[in-house]
This record gives sequence, structure tokens and C-alpha cells, in this order.
Amino acid sequence: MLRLIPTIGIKSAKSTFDLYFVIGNKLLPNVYNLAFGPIGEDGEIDDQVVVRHKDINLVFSSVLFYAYFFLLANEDKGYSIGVDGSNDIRAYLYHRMFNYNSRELADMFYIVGVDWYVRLLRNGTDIERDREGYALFKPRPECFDLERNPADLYRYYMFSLTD
Amino acid sequence: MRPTIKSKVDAIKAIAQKADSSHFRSAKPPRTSGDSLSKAIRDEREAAIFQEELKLAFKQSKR
Repeated sequence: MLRLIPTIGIKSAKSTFDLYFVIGNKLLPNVYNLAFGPIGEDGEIDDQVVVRHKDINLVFSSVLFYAYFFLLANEDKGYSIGVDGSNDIRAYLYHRMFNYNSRELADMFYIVGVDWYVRLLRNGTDIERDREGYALFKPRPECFDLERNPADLYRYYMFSLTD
Repeated sequence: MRPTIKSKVDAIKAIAQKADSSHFRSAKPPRTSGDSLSKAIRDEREAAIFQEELKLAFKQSKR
């Protein structure tokens, strides 16, 4: 079930559109996916759009501060926030955001990256598959690796407040 | 928390408290059917496994 909270439009003279945020609770308790993007004609947030803001730092800091205040407001609940690297452009944005600002962010967040893995079966030639025969990918979280090649993006990024 | 970061946070908090209510508006959920993590976790068992792994990953991040 999605839990909607008020959204904030980022006002910027250099932006081509305002961004709006929504944090939704899907399946995992205490884990909230943060989606952001412009509002389309149908009134829904388009979280797949390419972010064209010229001041990308403003976008970075807005995303992080929005998440930060949400976590602070629910500090006693131990929530964590996830951002979906749904396409390479978004994933690169998040990766760069966490990697380049790691020293500053270390004071505020613990950061985790999530990759998708598939299991090699005992026969050594096949992989685990779902009922339709497609590869059964499973998400595996790990401590965000600062040494990781920037081209080797995580699929999903998560963070929680520091103690 | 570093003083410089704290001062920025305090400044943002002050802005947030004074924010014009017209800046806030409700919106529908994203048009996508769900984030990729929610799609990849299909049932409660997988969710429980992921939660444990996530707990460990955050614990490692604290070191």
C-alpha cells in the first residue's frame, strides 16, 4: 500500500520543470521507495523522465534533504529510503550523488547498494528460473563500495540515518 | 555531525518551517507499477530474507 506525503515543487530559474517527490511504502515494512519527477498531464508523477535541470546539484540536495527530513520525522521507527536506478541515467545520478559526496553524507546516512543476482544450479550449466523459464533474479544489498568503478552502477540505492 | 553540515541542515529546517503551503500539493503515485525492488521481491519469505540481508549491509556500513 502506498503512503503518500505532501510533495514539494523545486523552484529554480534554470529548471525546465519542477520536480515533485513521493515516498511510497510497497512491500517491505520500514523501507520506503522515493520516486521523484515532474507531474504529468494526468496528475501522476513521472519517475522515468530524464532530469533536465541544469543545476543538478540542486536536484541532488533536494532529493537528499527531502529524504533526510522524512527519516528524521520518523527517527524512532528506523526507516530506510530507497531510490530506484530504473535506467542508466537515474542510476548514474544516484551513484555520483553518493560517491562524490560520501564524506559529507557519512555524517548523515548509512548507504547501501543493491545488485540483482541469479543462482547457478548444482549442475553447473543452468541457472535458477521462475515458472515461465525466465532467470530468477534476487536483489542482494551490500555496503556501498566507494572503490567500485563508477560505470558499474548498482541497480538500487538505499540509505538510513546514522546513529 | 560536522558544524558546516549542521548549519546547512538548520537553515533548510528553517526554510521548511516557513514554507508557503501553496508549495505543497498532493499527487498520485508514480505512473510506474512499482519500483524495481518491490517487483523483485515476490512474497513475504523473500521480503524477510531481504530485510535480514539489508540489516547486515547497514551494519557493515557503520564500521
